[in-house]
Amino acid sequence: MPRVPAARSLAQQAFALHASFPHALADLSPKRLIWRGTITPTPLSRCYSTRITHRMGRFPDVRVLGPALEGRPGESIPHLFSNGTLCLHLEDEWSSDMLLVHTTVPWTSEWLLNYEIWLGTGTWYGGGEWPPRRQANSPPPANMARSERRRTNRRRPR
Amino acid sequence: MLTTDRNQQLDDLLGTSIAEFDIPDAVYAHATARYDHLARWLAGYWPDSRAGGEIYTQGSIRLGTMTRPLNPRDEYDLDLVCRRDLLETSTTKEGLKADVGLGLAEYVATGPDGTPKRHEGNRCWTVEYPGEPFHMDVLPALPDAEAMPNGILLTDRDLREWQRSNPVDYATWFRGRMVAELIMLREASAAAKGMDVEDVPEWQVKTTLQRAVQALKRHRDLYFADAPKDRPASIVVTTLAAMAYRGDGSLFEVLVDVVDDMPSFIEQRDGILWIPNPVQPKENFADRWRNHPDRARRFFDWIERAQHDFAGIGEERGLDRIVTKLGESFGEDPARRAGERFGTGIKNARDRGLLGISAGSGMLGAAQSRPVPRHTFHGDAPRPRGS
Repeated sequence: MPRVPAARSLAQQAFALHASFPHALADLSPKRLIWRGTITPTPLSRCYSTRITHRMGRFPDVRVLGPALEGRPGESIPHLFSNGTLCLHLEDEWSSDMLLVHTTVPWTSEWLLNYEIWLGTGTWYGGGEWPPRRQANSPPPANMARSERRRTNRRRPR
Repeated sequence: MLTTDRNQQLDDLLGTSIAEFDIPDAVYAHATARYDHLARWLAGYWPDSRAGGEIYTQGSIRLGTMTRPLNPRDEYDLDLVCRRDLLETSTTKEGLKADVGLGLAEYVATGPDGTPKRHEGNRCWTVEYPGEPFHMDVLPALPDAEAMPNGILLTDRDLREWQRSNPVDYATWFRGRMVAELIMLREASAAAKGMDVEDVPEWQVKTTLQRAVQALKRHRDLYFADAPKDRPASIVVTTLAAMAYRGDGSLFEVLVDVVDDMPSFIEQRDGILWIPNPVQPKENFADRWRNHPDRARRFFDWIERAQHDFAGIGEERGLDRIVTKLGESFGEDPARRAGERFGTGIKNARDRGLLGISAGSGMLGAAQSRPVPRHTFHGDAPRPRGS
């Protein structure tokens, strides 16, 4: 039987983040890791203060603390959960054996780059599924947000 | 695209925007084929008429600075000189114009491909090809005995005076301002394509100076969109830009430096604003400002605006702000195209496993060791408007 890769502990995650981002702040408790760091996706971009919250057995969740994200007139920001966290991957694209510093962080940087281009052009060039994929017989759009969130954010990673 | 150098990234965005003003390769190839056919036919026709002659390109098509017209319905102008080897004393302005017109009429009558039509303008003839996005303006000329071999005499707008001109030597001067980069770009292009340098035509590469001239012309066209008669002539913009160009620097640096320095190359001769033709200094490219001082004033207003706009592109933080600034200088479509190229470039790099990030900043660039893994941006359904 193939060996299932071991989940990374929160301490391992914090250690790997610190090695690449020595100036960022990590707040580690037995059940969760909160990392605050500045990400500048390109030399022409703003510097974004971001926060990654990671609880064991959950998908990491990423929030931009500042500068505040903006919408375009009449359009809300794509690839953002309704709770304001960034939507970076499908369920099966992240698992707890992966390091945040190799996945969530670069994906956040990519998200920020695509966000800036979207803000300037109105088009998201980063690919992805938007509007999100709907399941057959899915509830009407008003309830959609909740069901999608459950599907991608609340379930546990493998 | 995969660079963490600020100037280079700015140049990518600028370069993509400005490349949008290029005449498309297919249109260029088509137009030059039409022009070649006309030139060859006239070369065979003239020896049988009163005197020999030659037809050749001048202006932006010769300089590699053609800029797409602002209105997509407008056509590209191909400026041609038609030199007839007649003595100045043996003809009149009217006679020369009629003589060139006759040659063109005979050509059109042979029914060449594209079924061209000949139209008369103030001092030139226009050859139009119905349904094709370009036309040729053919300017009748005589050899200038005082500036052989390339000097010519042109009829002025009212067919009153002979005017001296020298588009061939001017183009040589312009080329000389950028020749080092031109050679380098052709070599690089040949190496990339596995071709000989001689097989890479000069028009297929664009130097920083040519890009800067295109940028200035587009900014001018937008600035003077409501008053095209007040627009400074392309020769004025091109000459001052080439004089101000120092021979190196990034596109952004060149754009900012050139537009800052352009006014310093305008001379005052006996109280008259003077932009000397670099190959015949007695000719003043700003001659028209003598009778239209308001146009000179508007030129300086425009330059000031361009200085402000170009510098502003580099002062912004945020790709969205830069795209907006590019839009203010060059129009929304080229700016959007620059954003598109940038965004799809990053996505393609990630999909091909070439994208990485820098430690410390999270900046995206070429993967050094560990590429960014594939992933799919997802999310909630868009919230209903107003909720």
